[in-house]
Amino acid sequence: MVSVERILQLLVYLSAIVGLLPVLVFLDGWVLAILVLAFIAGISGERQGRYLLGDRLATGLSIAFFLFFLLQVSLSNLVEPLIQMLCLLLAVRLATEKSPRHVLQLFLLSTIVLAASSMMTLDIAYLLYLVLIVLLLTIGLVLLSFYATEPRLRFNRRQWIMLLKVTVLLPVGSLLLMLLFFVILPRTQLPLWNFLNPKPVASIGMADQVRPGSFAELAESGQIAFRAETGRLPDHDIYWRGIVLNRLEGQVWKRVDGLAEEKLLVDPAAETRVTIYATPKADRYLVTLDTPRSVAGIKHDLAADGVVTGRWRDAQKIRYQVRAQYAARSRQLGPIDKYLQLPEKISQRLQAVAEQLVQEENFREKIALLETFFRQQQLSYTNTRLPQTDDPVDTFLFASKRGYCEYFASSFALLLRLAGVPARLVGGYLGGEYNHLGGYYLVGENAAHVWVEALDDEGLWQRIDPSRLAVNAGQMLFQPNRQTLNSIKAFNDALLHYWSRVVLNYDLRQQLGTLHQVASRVRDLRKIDFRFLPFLFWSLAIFGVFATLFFYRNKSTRTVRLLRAYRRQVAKSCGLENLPEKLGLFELARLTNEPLCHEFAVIYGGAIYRDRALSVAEYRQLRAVISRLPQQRIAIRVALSDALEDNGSAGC
Amino acid sequence: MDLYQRKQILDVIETLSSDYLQGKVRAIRLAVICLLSGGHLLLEDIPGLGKTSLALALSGILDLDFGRIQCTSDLLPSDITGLSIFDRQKNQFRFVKGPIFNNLVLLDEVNRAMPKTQSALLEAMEERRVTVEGVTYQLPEPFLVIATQNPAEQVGTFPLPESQLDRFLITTGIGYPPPDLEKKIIQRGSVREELETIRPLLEREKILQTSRFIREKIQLGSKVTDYIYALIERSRSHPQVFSGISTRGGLSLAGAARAEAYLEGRDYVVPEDVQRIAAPVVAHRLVLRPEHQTVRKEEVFRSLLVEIPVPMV
Repeated sequence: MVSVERILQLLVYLSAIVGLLPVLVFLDGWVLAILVLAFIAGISGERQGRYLLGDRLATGLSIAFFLFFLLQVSLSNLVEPLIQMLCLLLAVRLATEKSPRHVLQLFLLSTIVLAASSMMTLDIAYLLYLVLIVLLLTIGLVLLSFYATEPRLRFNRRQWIMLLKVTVLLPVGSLLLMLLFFVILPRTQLPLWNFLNPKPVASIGMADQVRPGSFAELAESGQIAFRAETGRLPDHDIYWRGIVLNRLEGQVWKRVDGLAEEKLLVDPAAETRVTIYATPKADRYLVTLDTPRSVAGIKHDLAADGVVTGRWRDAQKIRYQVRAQYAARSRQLGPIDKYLQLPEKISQRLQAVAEQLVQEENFREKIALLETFFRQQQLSYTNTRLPQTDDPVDTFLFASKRGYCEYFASSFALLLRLAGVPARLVGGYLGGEYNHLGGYYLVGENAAHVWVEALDDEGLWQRIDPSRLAVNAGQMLFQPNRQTLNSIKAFNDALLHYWSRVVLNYDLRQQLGTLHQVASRVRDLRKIDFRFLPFLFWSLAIFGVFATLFFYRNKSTRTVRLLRAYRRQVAKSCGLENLPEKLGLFELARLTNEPLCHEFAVIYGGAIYRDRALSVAEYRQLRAVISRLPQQRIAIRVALSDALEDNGSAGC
Repeated sequence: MDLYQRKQILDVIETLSSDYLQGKVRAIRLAVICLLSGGHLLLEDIPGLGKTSLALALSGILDLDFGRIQCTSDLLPSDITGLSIFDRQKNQFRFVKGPIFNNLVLLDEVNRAMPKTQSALLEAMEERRVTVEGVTYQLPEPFLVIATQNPAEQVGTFPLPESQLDRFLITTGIGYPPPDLEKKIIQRGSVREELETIRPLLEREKILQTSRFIREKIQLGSKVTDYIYALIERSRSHPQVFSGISTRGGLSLAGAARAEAYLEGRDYVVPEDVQRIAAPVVAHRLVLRPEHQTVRKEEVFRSLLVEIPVPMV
């Protein structure tokens, strides 16, 4: 015999927890503390039958919180105070007596808090919370109707089971209805708040101009550039085309539109279809598989040189289909002199190399000689700590001999132009990790790449990738791609992909397609051998145990949380999703040159690297630093001084 | 926070790099780190970039005795350590100290000396004492050897084997000065004569005390120790590396990182100190697999360095 009251109280706490979970990360420390106190006060109140917070006091507190909210709120800072206020109201109700009226209010507040969390984030976990809260709420409301009529009601075991069967039907029904409404109702593709307050857009990865040496080391931050659904492509030859840079001004390669007059040689046998899912960036260039023939699913312009610029409204994700021709060549139709344009200043040493090239008879021999020259120079591929000089090409080829794709490509193209071969740079991405589970390539911003296209003697554009001539090309360029994703990561990423594909990026046709698939899968289920079930049960149980263990192992301490909060805040202020994992605190402080970051590094590092725990005062200081960070807009600069130091020859 | 003598040491680096040896601030800094952590420096560069000037200036400003040994293939161990000669008046042998008995010894073109001499030399460097005819003589303190070798010339040289390279704390190049600076240097003329008149800024005793301070007072926490260990451990299993960093390499790295932290004004070592100093201290100690000989050791080491997560909790 368990009383309805007990169960109802349990449901109230559970729904409050589910409502609060997604917003926890956005709450201030003191709000969290009040919430915890409220939980304790409420539970102890029920034990002793006596509540600390009377009705009058509770109303007074609620009004005080509301006034506090009014003081904090401004047009640019609306949602966070609102959520905090809702949480505080929830806390007040948790700490007071659970009369039917209050229980109803509690259910309502939990639901509103959960709903409000969608203004901040559209995480996949939201779906889980929603399902949970619908379940808890419907059962809770049914019990509440019993409770309101007879507070001391008790059921025995059999009655409970009956009741549960009936009440579970309701939420299941409402969840099915939710699915239906999802198809019909209008929706947003953006978390509303982020839409109103656009985040700073980081410009990393592929760039719309190339100047060797002006590259932040942050391309390693692990951000995802795009996902491309297609079959498996040949491993070493996946080039994603983004932008063609055809004009060289001083040391900077730029794009001049409307220059291209060429025609793709059509070869139906080599056609590949790719669907690309990307997050829009500041520039409007759409990445396609090299070389695109046509693009569908988005408003766009396709230039003759295979550069696609898109037009879209503010969207969280974009999606488009590409018909691309693998290893395609295109014929130059217009004049070629634009592709031979040169900067004014060219160093003597480069001239000398170019003079040798000019003497070669034809295109093939020129390329061969140039490749030999690159190999002889023993250039190594690296993207850390590069020297900064006025003439990066010369420094790269003859002095430092270290650089990344931009160095290789721009020096190769410049030498080709000097030797009278029309050449241009193509920027995009190289390779990607194939996710077998989801059937797509995952391409990170760190795969951004630049290569060369040169016009051969027959007037066809040929792709040449000079970065392959680096002595360590095999290791630096292709090794990371060869690693297959470990299966948990692959599963996780596939799940995220489907979340953004099916839910965030939803359109009706696709939705129906998914339903079809689900239906046919369900039909297939009947064929399953039922002896399989115990195995499934056991594997689920084992998975559960491991998940619990994993959770406890990762249970973070205060210091870990502090560090995580700091790094997240810095990343946010820089406009990045997250910071590179291998960026140390002091290095970060140096790169940002932000006094707050210095302060954090010195206080935090001073404790951690001296093998002692943070004192309470230090902890408070660090919290204060983190709370002051959002007002800063931090730019992470290239490691200039370090690069100079490293080169040695550049001196100070 | 004021660290013992830090201001004076920084003054030395500043004075040298601005008044006497422009464009060599990195080499000077590394030499000072060597001096403070009791190691030796190997400069790998072509002649005429100011290696001797560097050594002279350093000995002048720090008030150290200076000795120079020009290595050739017929140089004998006794030319370095000194030898006993017969004193006819006293009717007994008298030991005449060789050039190694100085605080700062410049070993020019060390790869030209024959292996026998090299090993005698490097042994003296490591042990800080010389035994001739059964008598052991202590070398003066502080003791810093700046050896140079020319990577471009191969004929008639005996390249230092890896085991000998391991004895140098730091290996670095000097590099050409930037064009503007080089023009200025050409216009102004050599600073060699000015170096004669350089005024000492720091006494010998103070240097010894500073390096004792660094050894004892700069804290190397367990997190950073783990980081250094992870680094040498990873170097041993790296696919391109035949034999990784020795324990002595790890020790040297820790010592140099302490000095680096000191120069940065901290009394504790952070992983970034290790990162900054790691390439010059450790890269030359790697022995690559034969098929990867063309890759530069520094690159291999950097690729290894970026793989190790920086400990932050």
